Amino acid sequence: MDDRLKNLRKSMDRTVFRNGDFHPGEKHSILNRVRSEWGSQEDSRRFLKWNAMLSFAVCFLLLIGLGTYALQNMNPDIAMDQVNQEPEGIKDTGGNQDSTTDVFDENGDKIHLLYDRETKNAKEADADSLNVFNAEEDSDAAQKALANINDKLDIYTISGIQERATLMSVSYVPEKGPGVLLDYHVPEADKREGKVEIAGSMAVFAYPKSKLPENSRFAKQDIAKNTKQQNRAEQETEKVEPKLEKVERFHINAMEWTYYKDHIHRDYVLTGEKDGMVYEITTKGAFSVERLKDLLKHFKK
Amino acid sequence: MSKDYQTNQDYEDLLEQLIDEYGQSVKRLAYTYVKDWALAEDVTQEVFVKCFDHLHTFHGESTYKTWLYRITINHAKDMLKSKFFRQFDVIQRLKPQGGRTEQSAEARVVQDSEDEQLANEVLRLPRKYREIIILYYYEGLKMREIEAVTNLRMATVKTRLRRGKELLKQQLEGSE
Repeated sequence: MDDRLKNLRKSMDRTVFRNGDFHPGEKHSILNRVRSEWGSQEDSRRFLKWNAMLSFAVCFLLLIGLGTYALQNMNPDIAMDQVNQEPEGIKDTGGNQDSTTDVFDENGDKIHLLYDRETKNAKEADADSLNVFNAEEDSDAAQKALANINDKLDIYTISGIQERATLMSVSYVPEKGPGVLLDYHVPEADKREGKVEIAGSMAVFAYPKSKLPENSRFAKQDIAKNTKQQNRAEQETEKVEPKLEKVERFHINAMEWTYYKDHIHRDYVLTGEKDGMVYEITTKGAFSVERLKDLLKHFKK
Repeated sequence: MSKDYQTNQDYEDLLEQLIDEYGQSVKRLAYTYVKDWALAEDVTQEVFVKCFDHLHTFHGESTYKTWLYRITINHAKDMLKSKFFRQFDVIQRLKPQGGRTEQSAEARVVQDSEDEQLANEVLRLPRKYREIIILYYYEGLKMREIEAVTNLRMATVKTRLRRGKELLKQQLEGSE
């Protein structure tokens, strides 16, 4: 039996396997199938690779977008600060494109003032056409707004000492007089109280003598009632008569000035009158009467 | 065939070498299971496609030959279990007896040799004995290789080989 089986290979090759040769055609069909399957796998791999990259890019952009949106909603103050700081940054870099900053029109509505980055000034035509009368924390916009106001009112302002008293904000309030509030930054009056830095500033409130605005130091003052309510926003207020004590009177540039001590606000108020307009000056920072007098030498039309 | 295969072309070249060397053996081994050349051809194609897909995982733990045989046997057995094969087998059995008788008669005339008788009887053996006989006597594999290819224990391989030979002897004596 074993002898016969030892010849099994020969026996089978001669008989049952005689028609079982492996033909070159079979080899080619295997190779063709392998190539086509591999090719389609490569295509699908390439497709998946691109798909993955595209998905990643879309997710990344979505994440950035959502992150920015969430940041703005979580802390709107920060976001607005960043927006308002933008023109400053642009001026520093000296780019060539236009940008905007927040300013307000005659009615107090928020509008955009265009800046030319080369000249670093508000565009004349645009500023005029926008009829700008208000500006906040922006020297250039404030100067432009003041120029527009002076076309109407022709008020006195501190001029010629831009480095000592920089006009930062202008508020024109027609229904209050019309009143004009000018806010100057006075660097020489900057001071530090402990860890707190106080910027020296001088607010000039101009209004017609015939029409005392509600927010004048000479009008009735809103003071908080003496209650247990801790939240200032919810504190009840009451109107009280102003408590102003004359301290000194002097003349500068043909204008009479009176220096008062305000016992309600516990500070000093300086007032001057000229051409039917009252100029009420309050200060913050390291101010003395002498420093004020020195600055008022530059208070002119 | 020892070489570092890195690219797809390298694997394709290797596959071509394997087809040249083992194509016929794989086809014939598949035939001993499915007993139809068209089906054996299909099995062979599937075996080499599968082999190409897994060439990168082959690290020489066995020879290419035993690896391919193992794939072939597994694939052929899968085909035998498939619904398609069962239907195919039924159709083959239902073919007109005349044809079979005619073919059988013709075969007897053409091949009256001992070779034919032996080959046919080997193919008539139950599958579990047949595969061991084929692997041992036709393919010339060693016991250890058969153990690896069939995934059987050595004792089982030996038992099946012995029992297969006894059955074959009985069949041959019965047919004479």
